[in-house]
Amino acid sequence: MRHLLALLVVLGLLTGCSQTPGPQKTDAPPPRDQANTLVVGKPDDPKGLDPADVSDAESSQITANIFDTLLRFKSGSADVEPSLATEWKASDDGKTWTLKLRQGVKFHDGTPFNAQAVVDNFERQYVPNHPLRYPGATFSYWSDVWGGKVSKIEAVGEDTLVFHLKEPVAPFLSNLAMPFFGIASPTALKKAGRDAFKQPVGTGPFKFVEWVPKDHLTLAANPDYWDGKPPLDKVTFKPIPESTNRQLQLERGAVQAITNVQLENVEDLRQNPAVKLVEQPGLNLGYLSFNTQKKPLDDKRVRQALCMAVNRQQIADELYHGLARVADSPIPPGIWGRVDLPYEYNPEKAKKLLAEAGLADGVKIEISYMSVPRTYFPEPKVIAEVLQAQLAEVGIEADLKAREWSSYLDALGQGEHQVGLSGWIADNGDPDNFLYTLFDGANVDTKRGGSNVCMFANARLDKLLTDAQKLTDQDQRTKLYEQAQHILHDEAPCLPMVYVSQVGACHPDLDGFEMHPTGTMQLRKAHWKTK
Amino acid sequence: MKRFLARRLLELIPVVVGITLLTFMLIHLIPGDPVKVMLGERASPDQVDALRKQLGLDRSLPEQYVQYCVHAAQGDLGQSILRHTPVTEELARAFPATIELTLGALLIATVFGIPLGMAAAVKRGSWWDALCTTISLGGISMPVFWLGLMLVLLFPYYLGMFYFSGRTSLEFPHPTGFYTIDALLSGNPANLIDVLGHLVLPCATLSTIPLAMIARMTRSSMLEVLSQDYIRTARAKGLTESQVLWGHALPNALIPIVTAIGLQFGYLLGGAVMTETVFAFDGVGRLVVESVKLRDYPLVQGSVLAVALAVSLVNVLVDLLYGWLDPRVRYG
Repeated sequence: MRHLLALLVVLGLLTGCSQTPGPQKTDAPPPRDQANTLVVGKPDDPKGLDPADVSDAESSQITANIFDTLLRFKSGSADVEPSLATEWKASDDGKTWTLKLRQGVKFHDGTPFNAQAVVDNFERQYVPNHPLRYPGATFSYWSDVWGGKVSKIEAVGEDTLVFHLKEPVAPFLSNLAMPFFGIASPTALKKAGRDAFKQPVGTGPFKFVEWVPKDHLTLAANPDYWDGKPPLDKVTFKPIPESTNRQLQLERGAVQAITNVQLENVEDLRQNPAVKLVEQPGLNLGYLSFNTQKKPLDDKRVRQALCMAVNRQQIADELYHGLARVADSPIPPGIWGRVDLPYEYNPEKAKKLLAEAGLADGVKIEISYMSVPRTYFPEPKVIAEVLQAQLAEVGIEADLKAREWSSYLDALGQGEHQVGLSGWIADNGDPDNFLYTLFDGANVDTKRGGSNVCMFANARLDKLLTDAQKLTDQDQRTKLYEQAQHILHDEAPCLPMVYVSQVGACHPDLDGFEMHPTGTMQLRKAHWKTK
Repeated sequence: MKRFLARRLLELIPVVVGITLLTFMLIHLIPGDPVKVMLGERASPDQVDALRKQLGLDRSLPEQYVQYCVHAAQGDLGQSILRHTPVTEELARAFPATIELTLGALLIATVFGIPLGMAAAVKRGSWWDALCTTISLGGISMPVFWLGLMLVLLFPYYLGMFYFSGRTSLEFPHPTGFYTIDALLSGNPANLIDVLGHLVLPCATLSTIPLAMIARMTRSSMLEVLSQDYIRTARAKGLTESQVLWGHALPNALIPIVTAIGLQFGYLLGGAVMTETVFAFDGVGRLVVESVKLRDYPLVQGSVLAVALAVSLVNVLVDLLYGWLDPRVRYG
């Protein structure tokens, strides 16, 4: 009997633990070493450390601290400011850009930074058989961002760089600020080829120290950084895939900052005085793509009806724990050129529109959703189910179809869907990156799958978007993009749903731990408060 | 014996070829494209085509398979599509971690499972038996993910014991990849204590299912042996109960138990994904799951091949153990 009692106590303890809703709150922040160091818990290791050859946030969050770009994004926005380039000027036809480079900057290995270094870095990305190109490298961002539009990049003396373009590239400056165009030491590149990125050498605020894959990656402050030595002496990144474990380690001080906080844990963390929540509106868009070439969505009235039948505010409030904003434009806030053109939630009007389209007796559609969470849709299945319920109220019967992520983009790009959950994360913070990519007729490709998953082709819109690409004046471009957004609002090839914030958390004494809207992480200003 | 071993090892060849073929077909048959995964939303069709060509994915499947086999036979398992690292390098890192984890878990499972099962058999119907059944049932039905998190909450979080994640928090060279061995080689006992401390929670988490299986297998096998005539004889000739149990009953009951341990070993090698995820333990389980998700073909192939080989070798080892445990077993 005594033993049975002991058994019951053990079982009781086990089940008792399960009732603890997440971690216990502690009032005091965890103790920390007085050393000027920081350990950051991230969901995964970087895929690689060649800034030009990685495309995932885990990697670029780290490379952005080792490598500088010619221009950089201002903190918290998609506007650019000088970095390795101090001044720039475009020719009148927009085809030649001249950049003055910062003087006296040195790479971490002592190599002086100059115009030839930039030329070497960029040429290896687009000149076939370039000696600094290594097998297996894809440099996908280069072709994605520049296409074949760069004809030559020229070093004029030590400090002047001239870009010759085949045609004007409107987002020229924003492109150069993308972390993928970080400048690596040409000496290291020449010496080690791909292995150069086992010991990456840049000009950035932090120097690479070591990387034990899947265990930790360490950076140390660059004492000679041109923008001032960063306050932290050492930063270590630790991959901790499981989000609860990551959070527990933060609360106990095993790490002092974490990224990718799960939305459902946000409320918990917000009320916990032992940690500080770091929210940053992200430059992303979650939207419902309507296949404008498939019945019944080829009818504008049906698309408009769908837009009015979805209660986006409810979705933002209830499924995103207050971390999403209802999207009133395909361009997220923080990027210039956007106009707020809200669709009202009006089920009655939606029904009327459906009746006008001859669908008064109801209609059946299929909603495709992805199998994995994305930044903009953290719970695709739940969102699809909520949509199903909301649409049912206006007589639209929605079937749900889950599709595996690795084939999802293909299926939607080829137009296999009727309605799909879709999204986009900004590359360079230029409106072109959203409007042209997602809605220009040139990006419909039913054979191979294009990025215009709405299969939307509208000659007027296409002209506006391609005209805007050829201008360098921001005011003129803004006017064209405003017109384009009015067309999109009226034609409704998609319903913009939400812009979602990125959430991280850190020790309350840590200041300047910044997540940038473009998805990178800047640690050059992070510092411990002095007590 | 030598002939048996040679035959068993030769038999591995068709198994391995079969496995590569099966893996190859399965991974290519399921929809999905590594190139799309790599390039994401923003990929233009031209880029996709170019990259597919560069990776050799535009060739016909038989062509790709034959080429894979030719390279594999030379020890070249290819390069991870997403990480650009040689597959062998990824495996050399992940495999030792998995082996350490698996051996640790099996050690716990055996050390606790066999006595538990024996006690249950000897005191059949008593509260020991009830405890054994409860633990077996609990162990088999315990969600590993939940258990792992609870252990993290209890030990490092509340009690400040053991570690939240990872394989070590100290820095020392890793020539073999087996951190326990590396720690021994480093000559610093602190390293070994740290590495073992990191192993405790993941091994305990992973040990629940094998512990349950081993306890159940021991119980039933012991029950059968205990009813044999030679046990009655042993008791009749005046041996103590512990001599009877450990000297006569257990050795005779071991064969099915060893089989169970061997099977569990195979299962743990590739099936420790949950434990590995909770404890950020970089093992083969996670490697396989991640590479399947990302359609990293060479990495899937390589890791499945490695796991299959290891499981086959363990099976051969188990067969050899039979002969040692039971002299009546003949290898012919």
